Amino acid sequence: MSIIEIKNLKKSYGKKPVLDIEEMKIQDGDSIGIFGANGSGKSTLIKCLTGLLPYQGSIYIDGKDISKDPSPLKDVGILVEEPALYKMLTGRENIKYFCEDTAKLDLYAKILEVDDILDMKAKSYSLGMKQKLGILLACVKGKKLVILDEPFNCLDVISIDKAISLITQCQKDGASIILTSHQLDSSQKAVDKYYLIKDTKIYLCSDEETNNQQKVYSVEFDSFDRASSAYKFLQEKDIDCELCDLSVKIRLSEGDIFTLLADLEGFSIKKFEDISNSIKEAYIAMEMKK
Amino acid sequence: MKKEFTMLFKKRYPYLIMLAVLAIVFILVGHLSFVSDAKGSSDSVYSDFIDKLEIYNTQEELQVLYNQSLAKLEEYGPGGTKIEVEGMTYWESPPPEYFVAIYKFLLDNNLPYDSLVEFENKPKYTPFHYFANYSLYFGYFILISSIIMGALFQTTDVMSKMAKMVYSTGEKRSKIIDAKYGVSMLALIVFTLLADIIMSISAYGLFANSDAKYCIMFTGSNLLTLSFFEFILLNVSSHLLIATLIYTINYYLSVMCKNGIIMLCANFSLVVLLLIIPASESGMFFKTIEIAFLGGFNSVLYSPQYYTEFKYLLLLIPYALIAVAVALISRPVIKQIDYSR
Repeated sequence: MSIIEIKNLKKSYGKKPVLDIEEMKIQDGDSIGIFGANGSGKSTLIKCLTGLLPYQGSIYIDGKDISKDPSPLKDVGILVEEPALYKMLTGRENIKYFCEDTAKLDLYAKILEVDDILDMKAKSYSLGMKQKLGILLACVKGKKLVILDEPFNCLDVISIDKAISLITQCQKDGASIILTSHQLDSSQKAVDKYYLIKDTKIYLCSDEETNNQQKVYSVEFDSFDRASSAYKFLQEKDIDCELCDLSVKIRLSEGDIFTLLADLEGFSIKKFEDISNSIKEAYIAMEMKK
Repeated sequence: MKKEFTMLFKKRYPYLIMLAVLAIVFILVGHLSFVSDAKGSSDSVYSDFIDKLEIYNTQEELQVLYNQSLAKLEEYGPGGTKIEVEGMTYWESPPPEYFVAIYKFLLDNNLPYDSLVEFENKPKYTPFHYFANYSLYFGYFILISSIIMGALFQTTDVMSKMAKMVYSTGEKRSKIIDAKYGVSMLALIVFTLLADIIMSISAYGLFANSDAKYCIMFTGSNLLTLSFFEFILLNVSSHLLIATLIYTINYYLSVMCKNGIIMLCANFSLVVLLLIIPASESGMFFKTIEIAFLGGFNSVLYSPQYYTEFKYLLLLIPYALIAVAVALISRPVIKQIDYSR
């Protein structure tokens, strides 16, 4: 069953079209990421999904058209851009104000390691604390769906890990997750599938539906000299490649890689990896595609 | 709405404190400007209009005066003669119908010559004067607080970027906005009623020994005789009317503008304009706004420069219609507002 169904969604800012999505379905229990360049329409899509922005077309959450009946949003937790908290209330009071059911508040607060700041007034929070409270609020409220727009902003590496643990827990507890972020490596850990937005359209990315037939491989060598030599060798053969420290990233069709590996045998390959499913690679490939 | 009300004091208490302080300041100003003059003096009590009444010693003499005023009314007709002085319109003398009404009142109630006290907006020694003085200053407070609260109560969420949380809770936008309106309007009404009740008790208590029984208002063709209780009711209803109309218009216009600061500037510009434009040139449109802004229909009924009729109270109807219209027009506008920023 679809938790979200979008039909003929169109959104423009003035004369500039931002979104033109014919159909999009997100299944119950899915954890998906939506990625794209700055200004591609990720946040706009999120704002339409949460009823904050008027749009043309239809968005159904839990089977109801939210433009006519926004009641499904009661079980949707959201974090849109900067977290919004009432400064005169504590973190706990903010969550209780927006959430009818706070049964999971203490558990989630422990996972995110914010239980010590819950009873402080929001006006005393740092940027990182506000961000964590925003994530916590969204997760507590979102019994059916959690929508997080740039949740990892202002968070340190450890806090990002905690946030990912919380998002994973939410999914285990039955919520679907929608996440947008520019931190692709971190996001990869939190989502099962991902969409890419470009030129008002949205594309679901999977093994069968990658933007092009090309795969991306990472070949690691045991020294920089060998990596550098291998890179020059590949360039002479007109192969699309990139030198990154001790590794060379190669883009080519799946069928050609084994021939190439045989050619590279003399360069002492230490490690070989197919990184085609990386969000980062798909994103770069999409942006480079003309 | 229940949630809005319970959180009113937690979220908005700085504003409530500010309003309470402002109200106390205005009431204090009213009280301190009140000069207690328990003994009084004849000269300070009477003013121009009362001076124009002929002195009489007996009811027979009063009857003669009444007959003379009737004859004058037949000769000059209603309204009498007007003069213009420095942009203000004055009656050269009280109109003939004024004398007819006053003399008739004195005859019917068998009252002596010195039983009347000129009612001006200056402190005297009756509960009527004390309450009217407070009412004037408190009317200014209601005006200012209705403008400020109406402009900022809902738009504070927008300007502080809380709107994206508030309007994604799953409730319809109009329901949320109406709930906020209801809570804030109720708070303003309760506040106004409380202040009026406290001040009416104070007025009655401070001047319990006053022998002033009625406030007589001449409305051009009618005499309105009000007991202290009726006088209070008139002022209270005037306060509530101003609060409701001004607050409603400001609130829903601010909702549509998404910016309370613009509404504040527009309102205060209008108030300044009203203070600058002379009353005689202000025309009927501004007159209706003056009526609402400067003390409700109290000023219509007893302020000499208005010297008007009950019928001018009907000018408040367009004002009420504007309030309703603004609230209705806001409905389709609210659906198209971007609450994501």
